Amino acid sequence: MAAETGTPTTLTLKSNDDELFSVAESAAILSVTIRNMVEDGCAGGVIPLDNVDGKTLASVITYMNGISAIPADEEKKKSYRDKFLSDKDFETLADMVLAANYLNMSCLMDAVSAKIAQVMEKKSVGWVRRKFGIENDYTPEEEAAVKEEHKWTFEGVETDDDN
Amino acid sequence: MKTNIKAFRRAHSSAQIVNSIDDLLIDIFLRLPIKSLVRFKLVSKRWHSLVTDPQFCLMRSNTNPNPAVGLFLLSPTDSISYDYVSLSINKSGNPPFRKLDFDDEPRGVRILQSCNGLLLCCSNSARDCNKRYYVYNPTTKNFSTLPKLNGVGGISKRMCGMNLAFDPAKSPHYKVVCVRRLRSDSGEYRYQFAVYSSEKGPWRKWGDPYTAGVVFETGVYWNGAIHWISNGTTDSCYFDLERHET
Repeated sequence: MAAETGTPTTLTLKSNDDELFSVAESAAILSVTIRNMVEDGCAGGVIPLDNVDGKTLASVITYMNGISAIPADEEKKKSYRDKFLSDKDFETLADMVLAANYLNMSCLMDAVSAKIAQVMEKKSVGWVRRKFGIENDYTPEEEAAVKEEHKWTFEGVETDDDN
Repeated sequence: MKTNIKAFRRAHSSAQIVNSIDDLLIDIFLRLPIKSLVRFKLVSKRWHSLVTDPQFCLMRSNTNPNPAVGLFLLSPTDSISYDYVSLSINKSGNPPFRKLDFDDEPRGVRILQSCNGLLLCCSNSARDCNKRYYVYNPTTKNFSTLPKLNGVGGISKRMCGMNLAFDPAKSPHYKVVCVRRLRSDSGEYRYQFAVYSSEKGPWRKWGDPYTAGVVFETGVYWNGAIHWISNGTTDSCYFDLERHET
């Protein structure tokens, strides 16, 4: 449909730290949140995205442009997603999950959740607590009991590198 | 509102915020292999309760159809311990267990049947009447002892088969079908079925005695029914658990 209107529409997105980004509407509407704003006619000026910082938004826009440039080929899209996420550290992946959730982008959300799971898979309980900022609320006795009960799941855990 | 969100975000890392939202954690949990998931019960009490939530377990089994992970082979030397052969290429791994020694069974416990992640086991005692039957979840290490089956109406019945039916994609509850043999006056064998449901409780006799030329010891749960085949002939029969609501 965009082809009929001639020049492609460009949207301006604003991050919560006041950075401005231009992005083609056809790519930006991968986000259901943005698509709804466009359909409701609220996208005339600048679209403020209060839950996403500039660094994350830049990354999401790279993804939007990259994935929308790939024709309908699920295999190629998947390999693009894998490559896109391959060099992201844990904290960046957490930023991306929050952004994908807020922007309602299910394909990015699924890919990032899967990537986080892949990173966590062989990690120790201590690593997970540190990364998620979780306080251990077990007593030492309770902790020992749970650990004893599931001994076999503690084999093959990587040594913490905290990266 | 806007400043509140900003203040909250400044005070917490993104990972902390992800951790504070159940739905986001569950999205990640659904993609973790079972071994990691069980290990992460130890992270905190909240994680423990998310991972063991029945709703979550059902969701997980719908998204991860139970892959076969390994074989348990009864050791020929002592008939109590099991050898384990992992079916995944990259993981040799230690066996989840070598022996089943729960609930103080002097002669140990043996596996009768495996069904979508649960094991039906029974004690190694020789006599039928002393045998206890268990349903065991080797992943969570939980087991439950099935109630004793009493002879109905004073007729002695010989146990021919116990069969487990469990499909976590359909229900978090399992059923056990017991087949016992009656001897009729004509000398022909007839079989009595009884069904136990983990949801609805006690053993219930099902239907009238039934004549069949199949081996009830080795039933297989498939497609909502337990199937048995005959040793010599081409006979087979099945018990449809979805139709036989007890």
